[in-house]
Amino acid sequence: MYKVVRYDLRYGILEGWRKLLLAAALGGFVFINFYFDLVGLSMYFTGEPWSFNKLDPSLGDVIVLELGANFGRTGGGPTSSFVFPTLWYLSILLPCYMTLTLASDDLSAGGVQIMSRLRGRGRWWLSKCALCAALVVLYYAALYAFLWLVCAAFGFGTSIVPDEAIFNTYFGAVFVAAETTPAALFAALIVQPILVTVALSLLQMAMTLFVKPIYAFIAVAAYLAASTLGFSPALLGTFAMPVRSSAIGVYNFDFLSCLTICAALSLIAVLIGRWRIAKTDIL
Amino acid sequence: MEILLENVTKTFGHTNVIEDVSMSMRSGRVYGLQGINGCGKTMLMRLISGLIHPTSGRVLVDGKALVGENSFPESMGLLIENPSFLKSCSGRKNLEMLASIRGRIDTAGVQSALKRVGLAENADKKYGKYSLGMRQKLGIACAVMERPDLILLDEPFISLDEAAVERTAQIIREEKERGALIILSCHDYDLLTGCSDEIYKIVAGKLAHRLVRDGADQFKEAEL
Repeated sequence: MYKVVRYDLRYGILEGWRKLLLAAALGGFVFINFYFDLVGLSMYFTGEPWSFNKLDPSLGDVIVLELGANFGRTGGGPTSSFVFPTLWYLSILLPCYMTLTLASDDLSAGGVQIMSRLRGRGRWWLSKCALCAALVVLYYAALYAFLWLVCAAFGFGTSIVPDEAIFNTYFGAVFVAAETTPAALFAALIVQPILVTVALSLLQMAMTLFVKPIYAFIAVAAYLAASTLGFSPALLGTFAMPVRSSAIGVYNFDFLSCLTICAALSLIAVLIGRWRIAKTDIL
Repeated sequence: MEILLENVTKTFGHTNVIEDVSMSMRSGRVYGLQGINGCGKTMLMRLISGLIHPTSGRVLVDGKALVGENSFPESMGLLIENPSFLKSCSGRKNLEMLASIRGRIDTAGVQSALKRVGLAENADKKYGKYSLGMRQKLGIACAVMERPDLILLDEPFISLDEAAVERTAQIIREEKERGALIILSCHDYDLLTGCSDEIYKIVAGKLAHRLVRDGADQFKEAEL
């Protein structure tokens, strides 16, 4: 089992490394968007469009403003309106797309050779799940590393603590991040989106054993889009939204709930996939 | 090794692609499958290899039914339809990685398999750059490299040049001598008769004829 996981991780990542460039491309897009947002914020705070330094922006601001998502249909405060969080949405859909055909492609290619050598369909499936999770983690590592580098290159702060004034102006909502521990902030901004994306990718991959990959992708995309409108913990995407995290604001979508729900869903996806692959005809 | 198929039927939708097939195969012999396109040769191979499950009936390998998690024969080399490997890795690397899963052979074993199929010179070229014939050779090398007890070769001669066809036929003979049970499908009747000890003719998913090589090297009709 260990050998096949190593095989899959090594060569799955080797074959798919170009896909990780998508993370850097998205990172570039995110930063450009942040830059234009800063112009507006600079104008609001200083009356000058290019006085960024007075705002002291940081990596935390980039993540919260651009990848923090939104407060749902009602907005964050009485004057806020609903804005679809496109970049946040893309940031999660991209890794789902990257991992969409991991299992189905392998079944019609070298997977048959691996499976017959393992003498176990279940072990093959577990290995694919490990590769899926690893690719998601690598994707986020590439995205955050790119954003960190660009922030450093532009002379912005590299801390993940967001600025209260920027947050209030942008979202018009209560801000508690200043009192949050660095670990809790790291969990909310970095770890929670990864956990949610891993769970969604695994669910999606399990679905591809039942339906065509495109339908699985559409189902995940629709489910994720629903998270931007509603506030329910049943909408998993909610936990991947830093602005809705208890570490940033007053909404109670905490890390422990996220961890529990994501672990449960991931386990369900792995078990369903394992059951399904045992019954599947490999044509 | 002994493979036994007991009244095996495989149905997709309302179509029986394999219908009530019963046969017995044992080590040290080559079994040829003959029939027109779509008659069920590949499906029969997939059933024997454990890639698909019978709708009814059983496939037994050494007395054990291929079911559930352990649906694959213990020691099997497989070439079914188009072989497929990692495009960004060389042929050698692909085989080495696959060999490392079971750990039965080392790099020397992989090199020996590449040499047998005549791919040693191009072993370090990326698989993505291989011609169809080279891909087929790599598929054959992959199927035989670990000296498995059961070897399934579905149209192994496709895309091969004359020398490679002869080399592959020689490999089949050598593997048979070693004691492997080989199941071979091929549209070239001369090649099929040249390699096989028994030939099963399949018509619309059913076994229609069984020909067995006799002492005078002639094929004679035998009971199914």
